[in-house]
Amino acid sequence: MDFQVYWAAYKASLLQKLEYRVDFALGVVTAMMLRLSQLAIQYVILEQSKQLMGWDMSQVVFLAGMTALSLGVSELFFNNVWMVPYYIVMGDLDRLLVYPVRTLPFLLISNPVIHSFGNLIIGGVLACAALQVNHVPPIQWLWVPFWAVCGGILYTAALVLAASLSFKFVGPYGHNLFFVHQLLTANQYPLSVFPAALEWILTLVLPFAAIVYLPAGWIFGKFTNPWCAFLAPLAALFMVFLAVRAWGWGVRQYESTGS
Amino acid sequence: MSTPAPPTPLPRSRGVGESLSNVEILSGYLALLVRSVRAAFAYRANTVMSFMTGVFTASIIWMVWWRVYEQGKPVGAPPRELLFPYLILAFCLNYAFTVNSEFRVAQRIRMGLIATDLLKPLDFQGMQLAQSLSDFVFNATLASLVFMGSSAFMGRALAPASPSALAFFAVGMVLGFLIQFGVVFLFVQGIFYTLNNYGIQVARGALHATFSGLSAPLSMFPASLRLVGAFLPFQYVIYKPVLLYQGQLVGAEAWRTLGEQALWAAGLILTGRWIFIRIVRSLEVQGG
Amino acid sequence: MTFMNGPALDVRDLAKSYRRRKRTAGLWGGVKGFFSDDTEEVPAVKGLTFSIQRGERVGLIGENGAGKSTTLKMLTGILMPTRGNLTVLGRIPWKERRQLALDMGVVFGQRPQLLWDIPVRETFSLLKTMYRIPDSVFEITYGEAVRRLDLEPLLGTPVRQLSLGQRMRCDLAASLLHAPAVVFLDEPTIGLDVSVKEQVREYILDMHQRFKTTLLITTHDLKDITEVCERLLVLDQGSLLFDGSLREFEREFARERRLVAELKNPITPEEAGRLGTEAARLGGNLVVAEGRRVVLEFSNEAETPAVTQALLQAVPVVDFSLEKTDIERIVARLYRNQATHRPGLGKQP
Repeated sequence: MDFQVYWAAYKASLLQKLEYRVDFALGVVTAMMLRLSQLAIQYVILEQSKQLMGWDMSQVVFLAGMTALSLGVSELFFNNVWMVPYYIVMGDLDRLLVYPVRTLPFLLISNPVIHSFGNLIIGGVLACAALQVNHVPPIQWLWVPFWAVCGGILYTAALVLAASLSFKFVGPYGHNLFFVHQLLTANQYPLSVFPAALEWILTLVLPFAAIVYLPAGWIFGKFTNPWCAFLAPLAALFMVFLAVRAWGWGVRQYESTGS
Repeated sequence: MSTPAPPTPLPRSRGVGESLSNVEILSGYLALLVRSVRAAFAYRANTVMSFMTGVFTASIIWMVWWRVYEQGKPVGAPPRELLFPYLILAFCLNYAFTVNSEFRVAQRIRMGLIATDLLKPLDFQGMQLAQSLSDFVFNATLASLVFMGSSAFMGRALAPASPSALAFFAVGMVLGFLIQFGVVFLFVQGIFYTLNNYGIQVARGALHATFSGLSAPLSMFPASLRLVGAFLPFQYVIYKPVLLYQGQLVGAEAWRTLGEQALWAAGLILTGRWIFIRIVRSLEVQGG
Repeated sequence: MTFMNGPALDVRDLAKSYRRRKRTAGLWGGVKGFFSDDTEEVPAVKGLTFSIQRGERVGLIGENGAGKSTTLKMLTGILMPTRGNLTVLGRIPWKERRQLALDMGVVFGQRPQLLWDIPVRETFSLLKTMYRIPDSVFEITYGEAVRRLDLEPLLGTPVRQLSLGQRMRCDLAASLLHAPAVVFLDEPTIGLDVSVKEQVREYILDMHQRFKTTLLITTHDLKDITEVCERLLVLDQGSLLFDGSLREFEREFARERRLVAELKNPITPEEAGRLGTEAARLGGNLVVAEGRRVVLEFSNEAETPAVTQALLQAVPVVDFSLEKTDIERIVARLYRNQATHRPGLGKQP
């Protein structure tokens, strides 16, 4: 079906990017810098307080790692969603609309980014280190890639939802998407730290809790309900459904700029 | 019908190689400033969104600290009456100083406009400064909304410690702006090499986020981080000015801080300028 | 399912309007605009009706803002019309976009088509997968494209590093790789050297001959029209001003003539004055009267004998020639409505 086309386009694009060595190194290093800068702040906070709502430093590090992994998965495959507001303003969506493929998936895979490797590496290291320190049996470590993939898909769907707003509120900057990004990075802290309202938003409205906080709590034995582990794929599917609907609405709104 | 008149010569506005007068230069900058502020107002939904995002991000850290203090004030940490106003002031100052230079420069390079920028009679660094100023005007307006809103809740806590504290802060803020500008301009040079504005922006942002004192005063940092931060200019953009405002640095210490800021500002701007001239020369050689 | 019967394009009363936010100038205007929400309806296309058969080569011309791009976008399924009926190859473009896309080729002149930063060769093989082009067809189209558009040296270059002219040629090749039944070209020769424009036109004609492709070309370069198209649609402010063959267009609108003469002696102001008055009486203009060169323009070819006689009687002439106005001038005049001869509007419902 269309998958052949997506894969061919994705592979070609990724291989080409890997040829730019400087960009590769720069992308990986700067992504790591960003994650480490946030980790540094967490370090400052936890050095002062020793624990946050029952979560110690290593467990908070796990939250940071899982967040980074979801980010990395999304960036590795679907990063082109960030270009949607720009495409809309420039009328560049036209090109995609004349191809005999579904616009949304094709658009998403068209531009994998290298700094995803930085997030994936740091995320993986942090998550594994945290699991090690907390003596989690190795077989359970397999949950991590599972949750990371669900997380990447869920986060991407949330970004698509935000990007769909750009059809109505036209402007070349991805501020809507960046807000979603910040909502995701909030998950580096245990959600119980936040007021109930925010906790509910991140559980029910944009269910990021399903991909970081709840699974983490489950694997460290803080939550016993097994749904904490299995909610991730369901939440991801639900968000994808919403995203596809929103995108369809957006394309119908689409007015390109004309010349 | 008579013979058509020969074409009249166009008036020459300027001879080749004639330079602009100072008034023309200043009005050039002013026009640039006005245009940038106008552009900011044009995309209004995005403006509101970006503001809300900034507030949200800051509030995350705020909420975490709040929870920390609720659990019990950490040993050796400042009292909440100092810390929470500090966080608000740091946010406002940081928001006012937000710039989008990397994106702009990279976009102009991508669009092939950078050549004309480099050839314009207006100094490139000067133009960047003008645009940073227009960013500041706009962002400071929004930041002051937060400040005023917070004052309604926190009252005296957000007031400057004394008139002299306010005065020192005012100077410190100006110097902090220049330091920020100097840092950004330095990083912007990297865009001429990689076109990867995202990476450059992220790298600078990461360093700034950690060492500027935005999320926590550097006095609360563990020794290792504090040591690194002491050698970087970022603390002079947010942390030190807010300390001045809160009257935590007075007298000789305050003067010395201003002096250190001035040195950093001058050093960064001049170094940036020096590097930039080198880059332009090498570009000319390549004919790029 | 290939669509065999009926017109390739069928357009009835097609119209499109945009909503635009009212903008006022200046800094204060910007601040006001921030808080207000006034919108206005801007009609871009005001009710077009025309029909294009399989294999026709049609040119669509009009000034900027005339509605060419909007029309093209509706035809390719990118924009939904506000009103009217529209089918391309029997399909409604904005409803059956992906199915239509398999039989359709599009080139957006000012905006390069090829999205990714991958080598040209890879792009073509990607398109082969995307359009499910059979090997037999691909061999022909790919081979022809590379040969006729000199793409060989570009095949290994990433698309990002191509110059505009090179990218245009690749775009054009890309749009015709799958031998589509209908091709829309929006400014295909813009920014190209004269020799490359020739190459491009020949290539388009060649593909048309091979595959009986229906062509719709919008352009500002009227040589594209005269060399490639047989039929002309003229758009002005969203309405169809003319729809017919090139020949008809010239006959209806190109009634102007230019009489260029070389004189024995340099013309004197008195002679020029008399000649000018006489020309005006006959409904013409003395455009040039300098030294030994005189040029008279008049709008009705029927006056040719009278004007010639007036000239020969006024001054001693060594040599003269009679020129038809070229199509560019006609079109320009059409827009500015300067033609003293009020033309009929051609085929229009």
